[in-house]
Amino acid sequence: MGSRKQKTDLLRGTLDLLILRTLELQPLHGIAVADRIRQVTQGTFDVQAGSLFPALHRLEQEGWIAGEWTTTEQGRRIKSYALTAAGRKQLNAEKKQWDRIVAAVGQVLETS
Amino acid sequence: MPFTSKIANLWKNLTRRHQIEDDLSDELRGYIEELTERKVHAGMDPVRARRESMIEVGGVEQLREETRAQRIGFELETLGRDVRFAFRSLRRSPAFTAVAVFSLALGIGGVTVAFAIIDPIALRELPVPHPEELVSLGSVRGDVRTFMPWLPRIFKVGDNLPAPMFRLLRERANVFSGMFLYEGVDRSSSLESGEQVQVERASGGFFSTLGVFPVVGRMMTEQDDRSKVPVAVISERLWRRHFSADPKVIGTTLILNRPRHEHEGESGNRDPGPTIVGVAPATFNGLEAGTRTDVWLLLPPEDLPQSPNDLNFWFGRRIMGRLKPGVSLERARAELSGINAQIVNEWSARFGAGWNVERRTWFESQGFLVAGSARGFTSVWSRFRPTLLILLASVASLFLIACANTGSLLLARCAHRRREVAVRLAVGGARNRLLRQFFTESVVLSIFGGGIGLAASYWGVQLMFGFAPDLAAASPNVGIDVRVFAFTALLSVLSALLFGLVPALRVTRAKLSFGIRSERTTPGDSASRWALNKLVIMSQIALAMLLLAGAGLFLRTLYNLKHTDTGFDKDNIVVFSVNEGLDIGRTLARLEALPGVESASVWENGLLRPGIQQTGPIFVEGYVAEPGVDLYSFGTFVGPGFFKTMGITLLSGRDFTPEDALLPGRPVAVISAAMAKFFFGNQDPVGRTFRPDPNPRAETIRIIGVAEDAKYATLRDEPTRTIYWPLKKTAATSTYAIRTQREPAAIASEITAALQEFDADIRVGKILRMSEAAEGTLKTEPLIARFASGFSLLSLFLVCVGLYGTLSYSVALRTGEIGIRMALGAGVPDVITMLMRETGWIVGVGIVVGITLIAGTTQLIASLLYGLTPTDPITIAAAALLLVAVAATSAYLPARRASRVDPMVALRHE
Repeated sequence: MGSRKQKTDLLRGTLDLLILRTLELQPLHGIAVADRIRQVTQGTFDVQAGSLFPALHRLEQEGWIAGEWTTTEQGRRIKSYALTAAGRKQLNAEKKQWDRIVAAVGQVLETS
Repeated sequence: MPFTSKIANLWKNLTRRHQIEDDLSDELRGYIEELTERKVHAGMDPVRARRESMIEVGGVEQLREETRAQRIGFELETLGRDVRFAFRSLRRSPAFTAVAVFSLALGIGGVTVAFAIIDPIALRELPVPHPEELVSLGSVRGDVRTFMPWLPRIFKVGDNLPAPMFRLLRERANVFSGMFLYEGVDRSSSLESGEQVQVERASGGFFSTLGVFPVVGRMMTEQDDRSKVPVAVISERLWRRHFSADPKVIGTTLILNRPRHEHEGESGNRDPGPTIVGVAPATFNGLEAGTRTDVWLLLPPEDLPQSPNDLNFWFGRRIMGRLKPGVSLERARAELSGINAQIVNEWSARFGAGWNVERRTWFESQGFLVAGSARGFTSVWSRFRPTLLILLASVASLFLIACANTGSLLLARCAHRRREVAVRLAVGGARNRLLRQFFTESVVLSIFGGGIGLAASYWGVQLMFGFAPDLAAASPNVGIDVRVFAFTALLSVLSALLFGLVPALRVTRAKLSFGIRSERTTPGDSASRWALNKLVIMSQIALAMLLLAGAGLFLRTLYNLKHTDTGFDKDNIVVFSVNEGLDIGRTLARLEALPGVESASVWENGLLRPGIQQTGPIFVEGYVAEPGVDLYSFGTFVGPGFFKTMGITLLSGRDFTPEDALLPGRPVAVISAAMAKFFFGNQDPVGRTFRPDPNPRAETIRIIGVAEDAKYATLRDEPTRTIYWPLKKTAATSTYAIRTQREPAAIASEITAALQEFDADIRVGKILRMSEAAEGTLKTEPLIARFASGFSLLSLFLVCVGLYGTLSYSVALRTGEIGIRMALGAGVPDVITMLMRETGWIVGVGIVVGITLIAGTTQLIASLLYGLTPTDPITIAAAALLLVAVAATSAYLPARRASRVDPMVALRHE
């Protein structure tokens, strides 16, 4: 139980970064976010609904992304998400954090 | 920005739940539809595509729940849902809910009442800034009688510092930011209108040290100490009530304690009374915790001592100070000791010969007590402490019983709910959520119980005060306020933890398969579950046993005191007081002339009437006192024929005659048996003499009789050394005794009429039988007996309800088993016997544990008992019998119900 939770936490942080970065370019709806991430990472990250929706809603509750409902030509209601100003700030912060981690881990790997 | 958006989100989440839920559904549906479309696009059959998509998404409900969990305020929402669920579930079992809420209301309400009463007189800090800096000064030292041997021992020379030291201490001590002299409260003062007011006298530094500022005018100051002009500060309450909140009252004279008859005529050259200089704020009630002071009078500190004789008086005066911030009690103590040494040296140098060795040593040996006084002085608490501690112990036990009661009912109920739990666990309910839900139920119960308890505690306090008018009069500040509310809230949560946690843990630990397979349990499982339940019931019974035994001990103490041998006849004597002195001979003769009166007499002091007279050391020719033995005696003045009238046996010698009172001085006396034995051993002291003075030339007193010992001050008295002197003049404090077979009420009007023949204005006090007067000296005991028996009955009732409820549940659970037994040939009596025997075990063990508890705790109340030991076997046996009877009754009903089970119905039930 405990170890699985740790893994989720690690992934969750990464997932937040990926989602924010994806939405930086343009507003997207749920499934499109997953598609974009899969494309960009060439299939390395295949985000399933089970982690996607909790993540989107969490980011929305934090105020980093904002959801907006639109109606498609087929009459289906679609909720697309856009990055907010606060989200942009958060993205920058997370990017820096990520760079630090990458650099640190890289250093560890090189020295050993 | 993110913060405000979060608040907005929280608001939205809480207020527009339906919309949010609909949106989430739409969003998920859209996701699945799009996924399906893509698969169809890729050439999949639409039905299969939809199925695949659903599988890919996984459990939709779980996904929704996980997404929901991300919402701000999700916890709150869950709580709301749990509470709603708890309400529904409690409403489904109204009997359980009613019993649980009622027990908790009783338990929590009881403790709340005790807290509401004790808090203002013992726990609350003074409403002044930084009360923790306030300290009272006292001294540790030897017996003051080493140099003032004439002081009777009955005066407890408190821990008070010599008041003449106050000025010196105030001038020289550096650790204090303020200091004042304080004389305690005086409740006997009255205003011009006759209205009683509470007065505190203190030196000028009082208000400035405490940090209390005037509403109007000014406070008394240390300037006033120097000018010694009498000034007064009044309370805002008095100002509003008596002076209509008129600011012009400042500068007027406050008239206190003026005798009534001076009202009309001019008061002559009487002291005009203090000038009102200011009004204290309504929040400040003085230093005596729990009371309300209306008037503060200036008490100028005494002048510095000019001779050692100025050092004599300091009774009842206390010094209080405020430590500078950060100063420790030790540092203050050390500094004061240093100053004391200086003062002693200076006095030695100044006073010379008059400053004898004893005095000097005594002052030198003085150590200082510096005690935190953030709560002010707590004499009301000290006075009622035994009663209130018993009250507290009773309500605490009752509270625990109530928790155990609710806990055992919950446990029994949990057994019923295992099926529900198993199903919910099976369909994926998280154990934690279930645990929370069950616990929420307990909290809801406890909040209801606490709420009702709090509401009822208002009347509870009134009820207590109805029983204890003295306590009510001494503590006007009792009320249900914020502190009481907070306390009750805390207690409710605590009770939920006590009774709710274990059942909640238990039920959610249920094994999946059991509950679903059948409602009946396997024997092993049932055994462990029952063990806990039994334990809870046992502890309840043990506590009830303790309360019952305690109540029994107090009731028997009261009985013993009322029936103790007082040494005089209580039943055939009628007593009363008269508001002025009368001629002894004429009055007694007139009283004896009343029909049915055998004889009449009169006395002053002692014998269970107010007023105590203690003599100095007694010297008897030929008696050599061992060192350290007290030689004092108690004394009383009595009229002729006293011993005959009171029915006190004269062991030797004679009763007083009217002539004894006419002798100059007081040359003759009757002594008590205890005194005779103490000074004369087995010899007959009649005709012998003693001196109440060490001086050999002092008057000697001839003993004319020895009387059987009689209770002097209280019914608890051991045989007291008592000297009876002839009474020469009666006063308003004298008690007249009439020996008669007639009822007090019947003879009352005749007595009044007879005495009014002497003086039409005479007022006769309450005319009582001597036994009533004697029982009137019992203040604490009836109160304690009442409280203890009241609470033990409540506890008995709770135990009854708990036992009945738990057994009903357990019997219901075992319907199947009982059905089988009966199908196999067990008769109704067999089933009842079986169930009763099981209950008997629990009750038996509970009682044994209770007795152990009694043995361990009643030692604490030994000093409150009279005429029996704290482990009095009769009392304990009676308590145990009562418990057994009550337990048997409450167990019999469910057992009988079980025995009426139709075996076929019971078995089909499976």
